[in-house]
Amino acid sequence: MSPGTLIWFYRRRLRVHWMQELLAALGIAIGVALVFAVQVANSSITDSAHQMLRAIVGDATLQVAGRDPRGFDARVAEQVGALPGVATAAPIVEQRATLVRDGHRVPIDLVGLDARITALGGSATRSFLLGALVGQRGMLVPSSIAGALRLPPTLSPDAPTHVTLDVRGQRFAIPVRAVVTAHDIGSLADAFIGVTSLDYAQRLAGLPGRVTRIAVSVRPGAEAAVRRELTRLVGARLTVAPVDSEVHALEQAVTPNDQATGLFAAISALVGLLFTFNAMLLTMPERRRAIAELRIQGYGSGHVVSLVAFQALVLGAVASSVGLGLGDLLSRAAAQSPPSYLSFAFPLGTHRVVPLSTLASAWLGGLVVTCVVASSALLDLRNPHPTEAISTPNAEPGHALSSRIAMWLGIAAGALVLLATIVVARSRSSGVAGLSGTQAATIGLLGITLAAVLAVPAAFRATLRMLEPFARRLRMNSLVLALRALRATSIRSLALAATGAVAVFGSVAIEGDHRDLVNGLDRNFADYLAAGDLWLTTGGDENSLTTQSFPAAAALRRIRALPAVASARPYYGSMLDVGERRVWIIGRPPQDRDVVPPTQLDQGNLATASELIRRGGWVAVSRVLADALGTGVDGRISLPTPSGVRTYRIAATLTNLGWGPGAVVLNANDYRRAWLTDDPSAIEVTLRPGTAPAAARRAVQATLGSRTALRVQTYAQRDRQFEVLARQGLARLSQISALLLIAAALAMAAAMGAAIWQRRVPLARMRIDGFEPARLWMTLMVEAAVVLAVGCVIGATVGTYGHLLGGRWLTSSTGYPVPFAIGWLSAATTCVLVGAGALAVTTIPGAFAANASPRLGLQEP
Amino acid sequence: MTLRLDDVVKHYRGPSETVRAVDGVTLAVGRGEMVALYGPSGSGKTTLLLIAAGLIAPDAGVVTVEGRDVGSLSRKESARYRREVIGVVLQHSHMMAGVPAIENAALKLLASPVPLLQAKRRARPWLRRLGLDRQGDQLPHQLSGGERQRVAVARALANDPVLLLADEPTGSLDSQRGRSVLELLHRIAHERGMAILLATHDPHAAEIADRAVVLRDGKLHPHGDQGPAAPGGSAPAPAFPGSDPS
Ligand SMILES: Nc1ncnc2c1ncn2[C@@H]1O[C@H](COP(=O)(O)OP(=O)(O)OP(=O)(O)O)[C@@H](O)[C@H]1O
Ligand SMILES: [Mg+2]
Repeated sequence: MSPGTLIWFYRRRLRVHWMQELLAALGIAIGVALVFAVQVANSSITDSAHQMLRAIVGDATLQVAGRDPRGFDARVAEQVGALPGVATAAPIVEQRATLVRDGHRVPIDLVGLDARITALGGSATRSFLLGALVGQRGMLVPSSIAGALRLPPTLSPDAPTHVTLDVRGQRFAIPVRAVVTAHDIGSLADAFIGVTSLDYAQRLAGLPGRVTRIAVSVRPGAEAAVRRELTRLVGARLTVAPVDSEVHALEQAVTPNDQATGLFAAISALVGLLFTFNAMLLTMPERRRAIAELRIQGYGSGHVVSLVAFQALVLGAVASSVGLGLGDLLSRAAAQSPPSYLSFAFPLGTHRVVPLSTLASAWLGGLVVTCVVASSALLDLRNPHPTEAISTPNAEPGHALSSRIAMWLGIAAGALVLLATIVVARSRSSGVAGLSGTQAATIGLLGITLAAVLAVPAAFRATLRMLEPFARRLRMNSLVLALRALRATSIRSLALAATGAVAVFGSVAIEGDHRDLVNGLDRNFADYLAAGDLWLTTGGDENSLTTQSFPAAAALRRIRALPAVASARPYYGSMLDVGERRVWIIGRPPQDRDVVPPTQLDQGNLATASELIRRGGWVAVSRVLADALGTGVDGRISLPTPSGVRTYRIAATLTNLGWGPGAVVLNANDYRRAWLTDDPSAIEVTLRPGTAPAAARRAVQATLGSRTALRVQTYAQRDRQFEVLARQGLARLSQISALLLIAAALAMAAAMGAAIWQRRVPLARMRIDGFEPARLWMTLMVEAAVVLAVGCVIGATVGTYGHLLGGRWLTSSTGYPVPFAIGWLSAATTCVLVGAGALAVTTIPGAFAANASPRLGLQEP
Repeated sequence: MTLRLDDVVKHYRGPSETVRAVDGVTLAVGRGEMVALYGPSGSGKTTLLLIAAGLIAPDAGVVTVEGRDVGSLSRKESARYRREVIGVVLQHSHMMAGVPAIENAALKLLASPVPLLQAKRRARPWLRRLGLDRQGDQLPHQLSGGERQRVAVARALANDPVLLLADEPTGSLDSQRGRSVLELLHRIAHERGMAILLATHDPHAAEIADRAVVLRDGKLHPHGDQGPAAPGGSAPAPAFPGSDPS
């Protein structure tokens, strides 16, 4: 067929069936948008971190890094620079800090550099060293921070603006002397960093003569040798690694979160697909009739295939493009704020990066799916006789679905559920048959979603069969008529019921898992915080994992002297790179009531484990970490601590305590010995019985004075803060689940409306036969209610099962604490929301259709 | 012979009984010949035509058109057969909704790589001959039932078929208009050497057609061979029980 003819056919189709095409396009666009938005949001964090790193360290390939924020002796940089093969060794001080001005707080990465950094050739470094800054007190910030702090635009090296800097528990007023823009430093302008000279940074951090990192560039071909030499020189106490190991650790840290989001996104995308499929299914009878008619006229299979393919390609291309636009909007909304708990462990930017491959894969995905779905219309071509392909006993032409097929579909649904169960049950992080855990779980859950759709015909038939005798006996003629109509238009009704099932399925499963995750994290934090009535920490929300240390001897002395205080104990926490993982280290005072968080125990005995850890030499380890290191309860774990590699025995395994890469809990005394420090990252205060926490908090704050940057919170305050953080960390999941509900409501309303609109002519014929509009309307509503009820019940049932499997996978594979609880109430609410909402929407087109002029019925179908 | 049916059988097996829709029919229609097929409602006329069109496979028997066995055609050949060799007018022809009459008439031509304009140019004279030159640009729902039926006839003729299979093409027409359509078909058959097999209840058809046959209970009888009520070959319609002009 000529391209002209193909276009002619499509234009004719659009003229008459624009509504169906629009619906299908909507379904595809929603699916593509979901996939695209999630992919962009996930890759942006790591890609932008990578760009930031390169802008600073240029062509450095190796780094020597300290194992805690206090760093190491700066003279190591001279030793490293003197090694043969080393081109440049640039010392860096990095501290997490907070800038405050007029109530605006910005967590930053305080970076101290000296002139050696320029030799590395990083694109941003020249701007950082605007001559005036070196050897001068003052800070330079990128435009992102200037904006967030509302710095005046007039600022210059000679007329600085003063801001407050909190670093390591101390508060300073420091001058900001320069703002650099994207024009000078490219994407780094979006990063939250503040640059000072090396020795000013050392002074602010209270770490004179110490640095935290040395970036090393090597002469060509010397990398392996230099790495060996470095390891020999400093490897016992410092970490020698590729300079971008930070980015890999970040990838590691976001992976479990990404996996969870990815899984939900996959479900959402599938739901989008099924909307597409159902939208197309609604148009199927009419498509099949049209195809049969063309075949009677002598159109061959080749003609029909090219016709269908062309229309699918156009629809898919247009809808996918719209989807990309929609997804772009979504991802902008989502990428605004990287989860703040990450910004403490890593320097992060907000620069949004969209790789071309993401763009292409989402677009092509949409296109391919459209073609696959559209090709189902071609199934009739299997029958060499076009009229037989659409003729069916007791059904409208094109609506056939025999009871045998329904039965087989039902059996297939059962088999799929079984298969999915096996796949998910066996998909620990190890995976099944070459698939990763996530892939296996995704496939398993997709299987269940499909099962929900396949189960619809059988359930629908069973419902009709059950209702009919009942309706007859009660002489409910509206119901009898409705059941008849439903039987005659089985495919259309099935498509509608399936849309409802899928919508409810997705909402129930995702909402359920999301709720479980939030509950799990809440319990986790409650355990974690129970040790103190008051908590003293430094920094803001970004320090939620409490890993920022500060000198505390004076503060401890003063607090202990207060009459309301029963005891005050130093708590130690930090991040430690173990292999590619940035692990959360928790040093618990042995006096704490719970050394091991009771609700987060995975394997081991709580009492014994606590006892062993208090005694020393024993630790509790996240299961994800233990698995990755190939160890477990009673096994050993070696940690590269600042005092060298130390080996501990494992008393118990835990969930990941909300930190993706995993955590290690040990005795505070062990921590102090291994980390060679007395600086805690928090002080836990237990009050005397009968003391009001709020009053005690004020007393503690007063005794610390105004020069302190320590934050004093009651248990309740901190618990609330953690709750907010947990929800913020899972914000993308709630966005997905909200989006899904909206999409579901939209899809249902549109599908119901369209289906009823198609019925106007047959309804008008019934009016010719003397049926009253009110009666017809009643019948329509009963029909809709039956369809929706079947769909929603299946969706809720299968959705609850999907929720269970998804939760199991989340616990075992990502290591998140996910206590499963069936949300009867929320499943029912979702059912009612989607079902009743759709029914309500249907009343309007229903009323119009029931009141259609009988003259309409004189038309040919 | 253009069309030849040899001992063709088609039974529909229902849940309670088997309907012998076509039960051993033998019939030949030659070049330029027009044969009218009578028969009461449910006697199997439509079934027979669908078999001749290759749209239904017979249970037994052979259908040949221009010497070729229709049953042995591959799928591709069968489509081409309907597209190029024959024309079909169904009892309830569907038109493409939203497509004007002239384009509906040209529809089957578009299956070959022909520009739309040229296809319309070929279909236009047929519309004119069927008295529809003014309705060419109207959409299906703006046409009367009889007009739609005539568009279907034009569509069947647009490819200059050697065999026309028409199922009650005049069912929705007044007797005047029905007669003139039948006369037109007869003329075309003679002009172009086209064979026509026409299922109908129209009493005029027997006069206009070259030959008339009657199908009853799946078996073929010569026209006028069915008893005292219809003695002659030119006997009009009342002879056929169940014939209903709707
Ligand atoms: N697909 C089918 N399945 C079962 N029985 C059928 C089918 N099609 C037709 N029949 C039956 O076969 C018989 C012949 O039907 P057919 O449509 O050929 O009759 P007809 O002569 O064209 O009738 P009419 O003049 O009313 O159009 C009828 O009894 C009909 O009920
Ligand atoms: Mg018939």
